[in-house]
Amino acid sequence: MKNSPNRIAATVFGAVYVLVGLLGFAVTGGVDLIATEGGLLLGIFAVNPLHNVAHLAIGGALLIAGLSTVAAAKTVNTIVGAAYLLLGVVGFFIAGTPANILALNTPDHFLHLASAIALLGVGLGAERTARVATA
Amino acid sequence: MHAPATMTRTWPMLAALGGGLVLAALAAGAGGAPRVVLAGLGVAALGWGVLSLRSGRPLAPRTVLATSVASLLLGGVAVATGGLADVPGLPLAAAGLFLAAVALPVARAARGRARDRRGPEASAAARTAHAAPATAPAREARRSLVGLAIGAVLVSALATPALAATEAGRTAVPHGEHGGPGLHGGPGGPGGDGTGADPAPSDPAHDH
Repeated sequence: MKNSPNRIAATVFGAVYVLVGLLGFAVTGGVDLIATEGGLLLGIFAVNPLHNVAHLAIGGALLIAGLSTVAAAKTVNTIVGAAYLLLGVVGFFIAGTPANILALNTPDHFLHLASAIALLGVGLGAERTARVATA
Repeated sequence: MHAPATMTRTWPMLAALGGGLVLAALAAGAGGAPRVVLAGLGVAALGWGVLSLRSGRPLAPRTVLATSVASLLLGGVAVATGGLADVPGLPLAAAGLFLAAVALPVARAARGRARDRRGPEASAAARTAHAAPATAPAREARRSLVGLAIGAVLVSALATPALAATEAGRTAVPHGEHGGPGLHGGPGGPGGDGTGADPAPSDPAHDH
């Protein structure tokens, strides 16, 4: 695994997102599943229970892919990166409306954008030959 | 490959992604001809960033260089003549920075390509001059990941406030930070009205 940027990135991001998803439930007691205004994780990042579940699902997918093969990690990194990039764009347009079912705030956008760029960068840019057998 | 080169190899592409997002958000708040130009540039930057990341090198460097420089010059003239008076300054400056961050390394790539065209001897000599000792794959992978993470944070640090300052970002002000009392102690906490629906856009606590 230590030779594969995709597997390292997927494992690290996956572990962080699973942790963030679990910690999120500590600040969303009494918050509706799709409340547009949630609790603040670490006093900064707004989350609601659906946002926590999304973090857990994404973290789990990244973690499993990172622990399996280069091809899986590369695919999941690219898909999650593209989804986060889309969320980074769409998030600005839906925030402040009832469509903001993930209770997104600006620090969330920052984190999503940074994750999107890093995951998309490693997914598209690293291991273009997908050395599945050697990793 | 030298360590700094390995770490910064993807930065022009990441800058293109950030620039594309900011340009697209600027287009959403602009009208008329500027909207078309900004949207076109934004989509082009996003597409170029993704395709270049995929191919592992800056694609069409001469075209991208010419487009970036022309956009920067046109933008400068438009700002000087008041043609972009309705467009907020911070995102415009950020877009300019992103374009410059794309143009500079791409200019280097274009120069390398021109050297290749001059002949195999010239490019072989240049390769020898820039040759670096072979690096272990694990170290190379770590460097490339660290570079990517640093680049992503830098791009996001510039793109997020720029996006928040666009027309689209400003309409998205009261999201997520103004829940009811007791939910959290966010920046709007003490100054908030406790209703969770504080609409005041001029409240400094709303500035992103």
